[in-house]
Amino acid sequence: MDTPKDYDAWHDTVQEMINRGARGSDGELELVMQFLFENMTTVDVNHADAEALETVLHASPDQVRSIIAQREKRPFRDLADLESVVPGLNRSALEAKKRMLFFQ
Amino acid sequence: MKLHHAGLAIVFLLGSHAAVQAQAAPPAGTLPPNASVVGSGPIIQPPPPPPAPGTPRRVRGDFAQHTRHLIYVALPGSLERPIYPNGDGIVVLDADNNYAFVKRIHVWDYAGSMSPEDISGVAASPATNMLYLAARGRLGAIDLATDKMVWTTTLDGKCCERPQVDVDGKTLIVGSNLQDYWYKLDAWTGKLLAVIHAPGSSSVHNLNLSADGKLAFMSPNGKLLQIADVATAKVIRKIQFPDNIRVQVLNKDSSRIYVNQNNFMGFIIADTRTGKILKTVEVTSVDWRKVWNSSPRPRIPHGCPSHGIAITQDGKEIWLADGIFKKIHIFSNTDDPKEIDTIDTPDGVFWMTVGLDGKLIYASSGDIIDVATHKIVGTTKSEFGTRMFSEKELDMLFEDGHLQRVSNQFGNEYGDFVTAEKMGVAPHMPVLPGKAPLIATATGQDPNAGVDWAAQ
Repeated sequence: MDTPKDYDAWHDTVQEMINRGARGSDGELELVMQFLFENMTTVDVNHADAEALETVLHASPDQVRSIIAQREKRPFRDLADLESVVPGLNRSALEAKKRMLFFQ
Repeated sequence: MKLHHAGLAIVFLLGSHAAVQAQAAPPAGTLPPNASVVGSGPIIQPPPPPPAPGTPRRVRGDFAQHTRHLIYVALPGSLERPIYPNGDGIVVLDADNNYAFVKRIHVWDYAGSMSPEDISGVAASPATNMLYLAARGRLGAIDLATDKMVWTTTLDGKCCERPQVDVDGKTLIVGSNLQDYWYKLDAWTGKLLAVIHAPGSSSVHNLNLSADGKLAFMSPNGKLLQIADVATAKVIRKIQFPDNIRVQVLNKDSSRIYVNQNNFMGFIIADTRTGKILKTVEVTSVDWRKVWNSSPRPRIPHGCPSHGIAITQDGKEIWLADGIFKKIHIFSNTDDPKEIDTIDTPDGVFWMTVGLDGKLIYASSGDIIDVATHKIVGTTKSEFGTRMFSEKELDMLFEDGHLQRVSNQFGNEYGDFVTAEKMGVAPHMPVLPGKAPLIATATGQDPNAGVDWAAQ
């Protein structure tokens, strides 16, 4: 349960739970997926789309645009590199999620 | 619901499904590139490469309905096991949980002192969400969302044999009980639409429909197979076989029919368009004739050396039941079929139902056999742990109580309606979506109570 995984893998997991009898309205299941997306989802900073960056990194739209613009010039090396290039990111939040962040 | 409530919900949901999580963990020693390891914690897999630009993300709340993959075993499902070792009704097994017992569906009332009717055939329709159960004496339709009998009909008092329902759930064809006619019914209501007369084919027994539902292949326990046009309920062709026809199956486009025959261990292939016998294939790996021709002849269930045949859905193999030596003989499905393998079964096999997607065969001996490896991989057991012998089984896939796919009782190459559509031999099946309201309601009346049978 505490092992992060990518969005589609979480989607498959929740589907499997439903197949095994878990019940919930569409809205409740959407909230479950939103929770997992925000808190338990891995992301490749150098390839993720804007929605994933915004959700997983808790970044603002401006910060996301900056990340995408910067990585088109060169990929980010690591978290420190990301934080140095894109100012204003939530450092404590990123530190807590660093094992979910990949720079591929 | 606030997000922290969602968090509680996910803890609750996932806490009882640790196996799901466990399945996702990588094998020991397979640290992926760029994997993240924190202390002795779990390995975190890096996300996969991004999808192609423009690929939409899966919608958060968009999940398939609650799916169940179940096996329905109708009992007593073999005329050859009159001691009813597993009682009556329909036993439901969970195919996704090692065939664990789910429930027993009550069908018809029987006094304890009486013998239940043998089930002579079973079919189901995703279009009507009903299961059709034929017995020697009546035909019933069960609503699969409630497991309640919607209607039961005795027709003219001389029904019923194997039922088959067409792809859109409008027409149900079912044989009379050993007469020389079949009934065409409205699959929703059970009302008689027509009688398909087939003089010369008394002892009505087996029935198949082409995958598109247009043709009915009607065989008696006799030598003359008749092919009817379902729309007009008229016989359009006939095929004469050397001996009595027993179990029959169709190839993908129903251009060929493969039949078991009395007094023969093997099968006959006929061209359904010309009516000509194309091939007679005999089992030679066992000396069945020595046993069959001994005096007195041993008691063989169904009185037939081979009673059971199936074509695998890849079209490559023909599986043949051996009621004498308790085996399944597997042949290459070519113009000159050769035996390529043999499976020993703990008990005699007298029917084979091919599961969805053609991966498993459900043998009437209770054995579940992997088609790819030819290995027995499971057993259908009752709630008491006893092996179930039934020739009337269906492999069914549900979403929220609504049937989405169902195997055919017969081992036709075209499989179920979904597979047949993929093969290009059947139209799209109009399935009731998972949240559709139920339409069928039980009336308690025989839908054919007022039929003038003399006029039919």
